[in-house]
Amino acid sequence: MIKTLKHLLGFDIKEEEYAYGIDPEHGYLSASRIPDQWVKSVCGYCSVGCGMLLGVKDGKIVSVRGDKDHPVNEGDLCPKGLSEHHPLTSPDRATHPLMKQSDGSFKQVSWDKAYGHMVDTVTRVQEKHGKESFGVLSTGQLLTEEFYALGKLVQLGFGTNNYDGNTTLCMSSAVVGYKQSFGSDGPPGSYKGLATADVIFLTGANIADNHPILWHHIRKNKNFKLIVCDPRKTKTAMLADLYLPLKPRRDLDLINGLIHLIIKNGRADEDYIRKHTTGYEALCQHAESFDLATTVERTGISEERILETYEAISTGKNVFFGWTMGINHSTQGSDTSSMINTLALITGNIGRTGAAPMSITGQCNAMGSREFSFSSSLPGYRKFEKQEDRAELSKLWKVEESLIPSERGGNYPQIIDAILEGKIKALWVIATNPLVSFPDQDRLKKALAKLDLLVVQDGFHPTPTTELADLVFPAAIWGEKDGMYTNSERRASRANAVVPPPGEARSDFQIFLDLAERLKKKDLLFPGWTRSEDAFEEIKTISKGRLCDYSGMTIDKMLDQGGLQWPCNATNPDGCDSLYTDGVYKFDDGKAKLFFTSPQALPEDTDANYRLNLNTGRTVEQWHTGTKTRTVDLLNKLAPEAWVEINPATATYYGITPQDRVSLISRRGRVDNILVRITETIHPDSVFMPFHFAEQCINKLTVPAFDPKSGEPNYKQCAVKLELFKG
Amino acid sequence: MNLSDTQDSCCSGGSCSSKAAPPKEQPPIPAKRMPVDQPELPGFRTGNREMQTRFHFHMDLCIGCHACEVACAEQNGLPAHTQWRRVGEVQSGTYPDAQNYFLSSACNHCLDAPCVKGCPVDAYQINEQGIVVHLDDVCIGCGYCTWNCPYSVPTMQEDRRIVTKCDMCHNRLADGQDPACVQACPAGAIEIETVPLAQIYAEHMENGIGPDMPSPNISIPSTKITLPKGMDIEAFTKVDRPFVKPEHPHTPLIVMTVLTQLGFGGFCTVFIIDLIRTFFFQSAEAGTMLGWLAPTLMGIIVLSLGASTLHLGRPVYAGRALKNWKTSWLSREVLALSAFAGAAMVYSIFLFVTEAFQWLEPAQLGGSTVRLLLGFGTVVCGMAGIYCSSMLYRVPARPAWNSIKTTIDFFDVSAILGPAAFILASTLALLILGESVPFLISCIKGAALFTALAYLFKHTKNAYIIRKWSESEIFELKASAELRMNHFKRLRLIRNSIGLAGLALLTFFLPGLSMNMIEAYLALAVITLGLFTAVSFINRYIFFVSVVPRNIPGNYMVAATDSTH
Repeated sequence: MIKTLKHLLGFDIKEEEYAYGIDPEHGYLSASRIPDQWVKSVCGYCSVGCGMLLGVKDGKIVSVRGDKDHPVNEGDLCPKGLSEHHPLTSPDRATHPLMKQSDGSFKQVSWDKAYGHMVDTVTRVQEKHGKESFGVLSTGQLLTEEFYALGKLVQLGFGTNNYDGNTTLCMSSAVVGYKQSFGSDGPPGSYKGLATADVIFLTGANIADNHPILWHHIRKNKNFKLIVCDPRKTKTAMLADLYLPLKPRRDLDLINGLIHLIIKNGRADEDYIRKHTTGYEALCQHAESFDLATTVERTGISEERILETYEAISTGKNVFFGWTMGINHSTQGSDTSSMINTLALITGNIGRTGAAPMSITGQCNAMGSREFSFSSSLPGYRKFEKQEDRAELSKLWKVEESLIPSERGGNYPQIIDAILEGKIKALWVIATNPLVSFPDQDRLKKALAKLDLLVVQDGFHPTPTTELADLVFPAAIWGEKDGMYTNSERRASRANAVVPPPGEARSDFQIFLDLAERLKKKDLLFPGWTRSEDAFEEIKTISKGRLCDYSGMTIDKMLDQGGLQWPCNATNPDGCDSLYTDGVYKFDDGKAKLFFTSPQALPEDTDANYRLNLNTGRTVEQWHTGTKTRTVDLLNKLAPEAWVEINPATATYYGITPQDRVSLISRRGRVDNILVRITETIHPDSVFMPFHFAEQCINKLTVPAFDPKSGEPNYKQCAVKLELFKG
Repeated sequence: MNLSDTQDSCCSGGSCSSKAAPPKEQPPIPAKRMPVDQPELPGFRTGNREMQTRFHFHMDLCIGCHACEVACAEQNGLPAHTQWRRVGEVQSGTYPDAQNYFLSSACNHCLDAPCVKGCPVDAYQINEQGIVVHLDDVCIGCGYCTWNCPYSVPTMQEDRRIVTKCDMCHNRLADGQDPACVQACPAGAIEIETVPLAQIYAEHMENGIGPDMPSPNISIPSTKITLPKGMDIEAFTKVDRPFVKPEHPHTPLIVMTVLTQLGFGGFCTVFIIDLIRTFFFQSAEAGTMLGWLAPTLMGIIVLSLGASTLHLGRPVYAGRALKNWKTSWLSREVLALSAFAGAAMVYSIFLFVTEAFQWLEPAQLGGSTVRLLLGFGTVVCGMAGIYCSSMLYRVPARPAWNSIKTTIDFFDVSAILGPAAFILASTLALLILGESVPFLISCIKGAALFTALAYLFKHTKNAYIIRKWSESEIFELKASAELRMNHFKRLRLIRNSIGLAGLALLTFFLPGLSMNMIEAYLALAVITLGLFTAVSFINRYIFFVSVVPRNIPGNYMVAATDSTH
């Protein structure tokens, strides 16, 4: 009372709360952000993998700063990274194991009871419907050690291979693309190349919004040409020297057209092609039909801009080909990725710093998942179907070879299909939020409703997905657990645990070990394991000699050097900047394959009823389904809700003003009450909407069409119509 | 693309501290770290410095990532509702050649800073490097700087009830470190540099500092913006233009301004009647009436001045507002209105003791000459008060306020309400006396005519001006007119109806009133004053909420969600 009065009268202006002080390392700073100590770590948001210093005081992270000594960011952080300490103390954190009651409410239960319920139910389901009736959907957000433990637990412990990550919604097309071209996954380039390339060709990559710290490297580049291909004039496209306004999903036409020009005009690097690739003649034949006039017509890009692009790529000394979800999120994502590799190969732009085809990954540890999660391949880029790979692992693991599956189980969309078909009865969802992120929400909800058991393990509760769960496992998040994140450029960095998780939450690693114990398979799967370092040691052993070789890494070295780029071994103790520097690829003949294919029709083209193309994507302020970033006040102020970008001509056609709200409708559902942004950055035939927002969930509209090779959804294009919302 | 060109050129003016080129030497002017709790700073308000430390923003390099905004909030521990640095956006062209650029902006540390000049308590100081520093513990939370700044930089930090703003992290600069925003920018788009003052004047004479930005002539901002090569600055507009939202109504200020203006109008009438009855028509009844009216008006004035301190974040320190009378219209207003209240008090007491109760003879207090001099003094102080009051709104940062219209409007309220108050007082006097006083009745006729004319003048003039605004090329004027015509359409309709009713009632007084129906006339007088006072309150409300401040280009989502929720 007296305090309020003092405040209202103006005696108290909260001087203490807003006082400043001197941090010994970082100088003058708000006293509220000065910690007792700074601990090195790495960011837990995207795959750029920025080095961080975490300021720890009284069991809390009070501040986050960029690590000046980390080669990825040299002190820079994006707005999400700079505020990454806030979500840890959010009231939205999951703090106790919860069990759904018959009335639909959640009841707090002990870990013991929660584990018991899960293992008993899963065992019962598996006994009745077979091992494969248990499915697991994981993430790209766990630490590599956790992925490794989870893979062994699921495949060898629970004995099901219906196990995949949300990485399938994200970069699986790039993985297949690399495998088709080089015989193995593995992004060949590194960020350093952005500073030395003389041409940077970005297609379907809006790095200014999605990987802003990559500009730290681009700004070091003294002289380069930036070409950006995107249907939307993104922030990145605005910064380009040359912008290619592509029709939705016509990338393959463009790449084929560029290859046609390069071959026809004798600009191909014949020497490199002869020595290091196969399939050139077939490629030449294939490319013949993609002449300039056809390319102009199909892509919607002017002849002038295509020729300028061709000129830059074919004469550039070091061309960096970067791509992200604009390519991957497509029914032809894998093949498009491969054709970017082909373009790089025929121009000899691979194996040198600055010259590389480079998929820029989404999540902080999608790479760790690719390498060691045991979902889309056997750990260490081994193949399910290769007997010697299975034999090698069984020897290393000291388990029966028969335990190791000889084929991959269902991928993410196939798992959802299997639930709908009644083949999968129990599902475990870990650190992902499909109720916002999976295409065709209506269909997904129907599937989840059929389950006998849904276990959701997450750092946050409630989320749209935890709300549907029968069991909620509260998990530690970034800052509360340790291990490795591997970024897009194959750099493994050490993330440190600096604060305890809230309430009874446990690290995912601990949960996996606990469940192995419950299954009575701890000694088989994780003999003597107590800490993530135990998993790290095993990862080093089983990756030795593989392309993704971690054997030369130590935690101290990772911390000292700001991460290490694999392969890191006795030969390359400090890691490798580029792959394929020797031109030797992972196919048996050591040569790369010049993959090619023709573009197909869109899975759902526009028509008189649904006359707009819906494009989806991200904004810099938010991360994925928003469970983390939407707890940060400032980020939420800057991007508090979804919006739809529409061209002024479209707005006029529908009679929409900036003050209006609209509904978007597709054949699968509708989203109401959406804020509009009328802007010339988008083609009149298209609309764009970000996917982070549960309230205006764009995946109620997206089409459940998937790349047949990678399982990746066609998020970037479907047909919608627009209505004025009168609410 | 060549990113190095522009980065090199920025250092031409003097020493430069940035991430691309870490500071090799301290800024040329020695700077001391400012102690956190020590407002008295040697060397502040230095008027004779030759160099200026400033922000240099490279619009061509900014990628719109917002890291600077978050870094600033973290550096200063700010809540989300208080942003010292904001990233806005401007747009031009059509697809696919559309071009949007981002503008990261904090305080522009102006050479002729209106926040410094306007601050009534001297809470703004300019340090030796030219950095405009706000002293939190001196601030009384009047928010006048938030009206004065053409970039809407100073922010009322609600949880502290004071204004806060960017200080260029000058305490970090003093230690040879970059400000948080500079340090955070992954594109190297924000730099700190120290340049000769003359260079800033020269640069700004050429053109504005950025697209769709307020004219640099208002405040001479020190910030330099390097524009993208070949940018046609005229072609760009800020993306938040469609979203204009009403400003804060400042209720205590509505009450204070309307009632002091009523008081002033009342005292003008009192003084005129006092003059007339002294020199032309001796009327004891009129004297008695004045003896009651004057103290009533005085009470209203004193109460309204007291109420105005509720506008302050820190009302307990209201007295500090007198400090900066040399440059601040707010200080002058406080000073002049206090003098008005003081003079009114003495004049009222004179009238009260000599006329209302006749405890003393006027001669005992110096005679009617002294009384009339007091009356004259009251009117002069009142006029000064209302003038200063109007001048404090006439700031270039708020175009809809920044004209003589504001001053005329303020005096118009006096011209309408003063006579209306007099009509009421005189009618009441007639009722109490129970007999006709021809002098008073003539005065009432005159007052009714005056009120009606003043009202018609004010509303015709304003209708004309608002129409002019709606055709203006100045965005803020046009937007203000649109707010009035669309957002406040209904309120304006209500106001006009009330005004018309008031005018209709006034006509009853024009022929002169009959003593037979004096009670009815009293009721009429009460209602008339009530109606015109209501009109004045509504007008003043519209005045406060429909002003559109100048600002930097804003963030689309912040503007869109702010105005629709």
